[in-house]
Amino acid sequence: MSTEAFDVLAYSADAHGSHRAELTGLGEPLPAALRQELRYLRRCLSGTTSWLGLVLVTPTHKNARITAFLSSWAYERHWMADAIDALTGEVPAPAAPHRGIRGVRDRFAPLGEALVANLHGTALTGVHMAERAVDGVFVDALLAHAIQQGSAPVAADLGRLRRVLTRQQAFFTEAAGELVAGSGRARRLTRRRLTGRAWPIGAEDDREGTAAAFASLVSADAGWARAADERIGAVPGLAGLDIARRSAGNPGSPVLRTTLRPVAALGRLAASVIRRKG
Amino acid sequence: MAFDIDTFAGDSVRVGWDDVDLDAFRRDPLPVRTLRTLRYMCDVEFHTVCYLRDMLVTPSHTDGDVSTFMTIWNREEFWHGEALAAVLGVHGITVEFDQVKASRMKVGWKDRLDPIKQSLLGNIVGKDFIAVHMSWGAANERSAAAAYRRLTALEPHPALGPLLKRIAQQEARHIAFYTTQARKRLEASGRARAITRFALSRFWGPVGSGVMPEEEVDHVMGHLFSGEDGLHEVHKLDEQIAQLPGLEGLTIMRDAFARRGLLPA
Repeated sequence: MSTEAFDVLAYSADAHGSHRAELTGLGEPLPAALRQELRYLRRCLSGTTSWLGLVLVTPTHKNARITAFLSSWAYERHWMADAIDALTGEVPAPAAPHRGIRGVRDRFAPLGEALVANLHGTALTGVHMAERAVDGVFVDALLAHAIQQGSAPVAADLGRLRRVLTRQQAFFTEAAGELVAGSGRARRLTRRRLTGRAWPIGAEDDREGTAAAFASLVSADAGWARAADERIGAVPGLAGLDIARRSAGNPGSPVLRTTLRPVAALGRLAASVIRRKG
Repeated sequence: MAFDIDTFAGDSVRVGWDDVDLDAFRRDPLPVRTLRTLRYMCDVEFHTVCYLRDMLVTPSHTDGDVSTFMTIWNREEFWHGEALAAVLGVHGITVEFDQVKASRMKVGWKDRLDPIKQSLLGNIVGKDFIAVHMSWGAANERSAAAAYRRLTALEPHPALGPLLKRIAQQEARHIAFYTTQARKRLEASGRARAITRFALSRFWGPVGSGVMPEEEVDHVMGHLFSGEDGLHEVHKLDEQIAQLPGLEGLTIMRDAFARRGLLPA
């Protein structure tokens, strides 16, 4: 049974646009550690369209309620990133496309996801919602830590961004819980996918920055990862994954590393095809 | 004229209709023919996220300006759909998430293959493929704005006109972006000009064709673009598209109408 307590239309109607007129911390000097953390947060907030590209090639795009939410979510993320640019006074250079094998992988990722989507079907929607719910826990922890480091005006601005994130999290947590807990297939796929990648999303592109971000979180609160895992574990179907603790132990790397992962993926693909034919 | 993406993003607001007298539709309902056309327009606006998807699987999204535009554009188009849904709702025609989902489910295999096709083409052609998207977008947005203008002229309802005018004004901003981007990219590359000309002349169809039922496409195009004024609009659209570098002499609108048997003998 669908709960769907989150009012997507109300959210879309007053999605937060530009923060610039409200910013009180413009021109405030930023400690070096805070500046570095804001740069990392900025990187977390970029890459929205790339992620959307991977999501919209799957059956998730059929779900009009979810795509309506994602339209305004992407809009809010754009302006959250813009607010951080304004606070740091920096305009990040566009990320250069990867070269070599990594570049080929990036270019063909949507194609691969579109093909895989035909096997997994709507179970992938649970994965997508859970990905954002988990990523949001990391971003929230970073924002909370940045707020503690900033002057009062900067902290007020970051607090506003955190409130925007909190509302987004309400949707992702609700949607993930409903989709993942409601289907054994979605639960297995989601747990496998969540532990098969690095956190937060995009961490593998900046291992050094991720390590520094985790180190700053630990220095402020040794128990941050446990707290983050408790929040993730509270989402129905995601208990016991220990994503934050494992990520903190190996920044920028998949939560669970196994050399047999490609072999296992091929096995699952073959099993899925056989089941379908059967 | 240069297009400033930051100004575009900063000025973006969702189209509003709180001040539109929706009760006027209860007193003076729109005719069935117009409601059918509005329903089509509403569905197509909601379908924007699928066009967005086709662009995101190609190199288009790696361009910062294009990525920002897509984010803002997608949200504006969603609200165009909501505005039209509000008008339809007054007439007892419900367009909620479940109905939109159902219409997306109907597209079937084409919908599964489109992103694969786009991704393959994007990877084979590379950066020049962005010119195809920008030119295609320019043609789509111009024809959408023309459709809103034509419906306003054909249906002089006191509550409908102001709403359609607001939507058309936002479409004009989209036209400016697509046209500026297309012109820049077509001017810069002979290969982009050749590929874009080939793609538009061979594959372009009226907005909504391919995702909406054929009889609905024919109804809307016949409703909005028949008669002397409608044909004049078709001709004008072709002239505007043909002004882009490398697209001289193309008559994609006229050709699309001819294929559908919608031009006078």
